[in-house]
Amino acid sequence: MLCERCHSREAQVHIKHMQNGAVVEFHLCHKCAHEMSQQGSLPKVPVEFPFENFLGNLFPAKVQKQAEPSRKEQMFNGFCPACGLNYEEFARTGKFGCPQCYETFRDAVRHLLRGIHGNEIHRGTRPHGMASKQPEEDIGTLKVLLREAIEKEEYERAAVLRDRIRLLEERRA
Amino acid sequence: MKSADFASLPLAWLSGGSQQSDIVLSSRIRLARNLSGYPFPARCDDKKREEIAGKILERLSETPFVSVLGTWQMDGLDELRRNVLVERHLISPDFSRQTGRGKVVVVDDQGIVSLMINEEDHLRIQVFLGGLDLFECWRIAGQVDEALDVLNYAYDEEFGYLTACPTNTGTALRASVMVHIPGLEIQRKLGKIIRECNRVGLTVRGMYGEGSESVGSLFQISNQVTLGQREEELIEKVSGVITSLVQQERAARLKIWENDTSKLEDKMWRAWGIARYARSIESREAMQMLSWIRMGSQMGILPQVPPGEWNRLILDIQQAHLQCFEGRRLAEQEIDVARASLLRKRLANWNNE
Repeated sequence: MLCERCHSREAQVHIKHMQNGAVVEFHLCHKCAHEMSQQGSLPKVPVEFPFENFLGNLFPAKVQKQAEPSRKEQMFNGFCPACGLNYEEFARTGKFGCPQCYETFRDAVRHLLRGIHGNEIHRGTRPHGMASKQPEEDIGTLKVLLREAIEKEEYERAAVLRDRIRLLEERRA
Repeated sequence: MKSADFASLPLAWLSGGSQQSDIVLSSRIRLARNLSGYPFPARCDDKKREEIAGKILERLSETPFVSVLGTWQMDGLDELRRNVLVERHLISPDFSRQTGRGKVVVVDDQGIVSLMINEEDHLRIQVFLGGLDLFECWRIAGQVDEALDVLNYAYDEEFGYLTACPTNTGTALRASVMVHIPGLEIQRKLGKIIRECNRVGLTVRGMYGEGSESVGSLFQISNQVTLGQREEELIEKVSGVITSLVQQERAARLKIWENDTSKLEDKMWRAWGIARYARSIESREAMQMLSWIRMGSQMGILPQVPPGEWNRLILDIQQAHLQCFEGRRLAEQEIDVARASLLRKRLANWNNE
């Protein structure tokens, strides 16, 4: 169906609403719907698909506004030091600016990844160059994470970490 | 390269595969990788992107088992050539619309491996094979990945491979399979299949991926989750679902045939008639007719169109392909005429009416 206003683009916004006691229907393209709602001849409609309403729910608002920002966030004032992305922009677009962002927003990222994948610990392959790295360090880091998780009573995450440590220990043996 | 040559770039999967290739057209593994020390492409300027592309291409040229047929800068390609690459699934629709330097597509001479450089991530490795063959795709993709990982990938011990979009983080692996399931569509089982797939973490999409509607009963099924499971587990899951889907499709066809043989044969022969004699045909209708023809041909009802020829046909009737064969841009009506003419000619070869 073509947009009933411009007759050139595909109608993608379909609105039914009450106007002076009668039901009025509109079939519009995104652009026209946006223009009409700007002019006020249409009720305000979310014509752009807002990312926040979807993946955005997975972003922890707490981290954004929490009373005690984590060490890293405090340090960089919510900005990634490598690429300048700030947390709000990250939460709005759902895209990282650079690999360093994962480190900058680590706590929020954990929450986000768990929401998307139901998990936040990678169990797949590692780059070749890293295979030679001492697994002990990784296990050390993971053990710290495990302790943190238990303290925060995040038992599901703790279980995953425990499995990961076991896996690495097996690999080493 | 001439535009007609673009429309016939090699694709290994077209000639079919060894496993389940009556129902499964192709298997694809896609890996996303990024170089540490650089912002993701959306936040890179031309110079940085060119630097990244330079590093990847240099390393690739030292890799013995990928024999490169062509390397193209996207901003050096006209719209028609870009669209042909999309229709051949060598680049994403998104990539075809991106501008700026350092955006590169690489295609190997076997039509198995292709790379997109500086799409959403610095590197996307894609491996395509015919039939259900995800594990072999993964083996090849892994080799390419290993050869390039001296470039110092962005990787985190906790999160795995780091990507621009959190939906790819972890293994950054997407295993997808293209299936032709007209029988299940006739039996109206698609809704159930989509729900079942979603339940186990798989996505069902149309032939051209994200946002594309399904045409000709062709669907792409892929893993949604990329983090928390090993690559083999993800692939195993997709393969397992596809294997069961293939059995369901075969059973569905048999059932439909048993229930009303003459109605089914009538539909198939009508499709053959339209595809064989139409003078103008829209893309959607052509895909629908070809869907009947593939099914009819496999069930021994219609003339035997070899699977490889059928696979080539579904690409050759796409609009950018048709325009490349003609060597010029065509108006919409001209495209429909060209499509009908191509179908008539090609199907005449298999005529034993």
